[in-house]
Amino acid sequence: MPNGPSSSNGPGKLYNRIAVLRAERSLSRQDLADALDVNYQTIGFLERGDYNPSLALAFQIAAYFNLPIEAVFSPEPFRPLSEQVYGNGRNRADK
Amino acid sequence: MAATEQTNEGVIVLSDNPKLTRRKRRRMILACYSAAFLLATVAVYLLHFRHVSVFRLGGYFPLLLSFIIVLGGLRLGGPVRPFSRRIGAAAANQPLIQLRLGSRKHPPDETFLDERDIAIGDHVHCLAMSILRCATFLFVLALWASAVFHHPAWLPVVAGIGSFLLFVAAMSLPQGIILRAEPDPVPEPSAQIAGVPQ
Repeated sequence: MPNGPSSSNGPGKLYNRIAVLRAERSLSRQDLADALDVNYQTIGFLERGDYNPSLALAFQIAAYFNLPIEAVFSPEPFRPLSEQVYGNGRNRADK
Repeated sequence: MAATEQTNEGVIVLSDNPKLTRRKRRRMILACYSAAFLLATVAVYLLHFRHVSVFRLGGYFPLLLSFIIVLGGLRLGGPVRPFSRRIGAAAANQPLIQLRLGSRKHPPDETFLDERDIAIGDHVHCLAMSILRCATFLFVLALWASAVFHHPAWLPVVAGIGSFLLFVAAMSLPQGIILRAEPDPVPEPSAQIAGVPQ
C-alpha cells in the first residue's frame, strides 16, 4: 500500500505532532477528520506515520492548528514539546 | 455494525461482521478466486468433454456461478465489488469498498474519497494492471504455442473461458488487492491521551 507522496519507510519519512496537538485541543480523530474533510482512518495513518500527507493537506492541517507547517511536520524526529518550550532541566539549572 | 453506517471503521467496511479481520479477508479472497478457477475448470470439462445440455447452456452455468461469487453478478455487489471513483461531497465518510456478504443493502453510489483513498486506488490499479499484463501475455503465449504446435480441439473452449477469467480478474483485482493488504482499522487510543473526550 502506498504511504503517500513519499514513502514513510525510506528517507522520505515525515514526522508530525498531530496526535499531541489533537490531544491538547481535546479533539477526537473524527473531529479533526471532519474539519479537514478526510476519512477518520487517514488521521490515524498520519499520526502513526504510515502515510505522508500531500503538501495541500499538510498546509491544511497546519492552518487548522494555527501553526507554521514546520511546527507540525518535520523530516527529523521532534523533540518533546515541553523540552522545546521550557528547555531541559540542566539548561534551566545553569541559568 | 451495519455496512452503511457512518461510523468510520476505515476505508473498508467489512460487511455486517466486525470480526472479518485481515486474515479472514485474505482467506476469503483466496477462496473466491479459487472457486472461480475451479468452476471455470468444471466449465471446460462440461463444455468440451461432456457436451452438456441444449445449446451447451449447462456448461456455462459454472461460469455464471463464478461471476456471481466474485463480482456478485450484474448488480455488482459481491464479495469483491468493482471500484468506484465517483465522488460526492454529500456522502462524506462513506467507505471506499464495502463487502456485503449476506446483505442486500446497496449504499449510495456516490463515495467520498480522500487523498489517501485515491492514492491507494491508484496504487492498486497500477499493481493490478501489471499482474494482468503478465497474466494476459502468458495466457496468449500459451494459446499461441498450443495452436501452433498441437492445435488441440479444446483450444477454443479454453480460450473463451480463460478470457472470461481474465475479465473477472480485471474487474475485481484492484479491490482484491486492497482487501488483502489493507490493515485492520486501529481503534483510537483516546483512553491513553488525557484530555481527549472518551
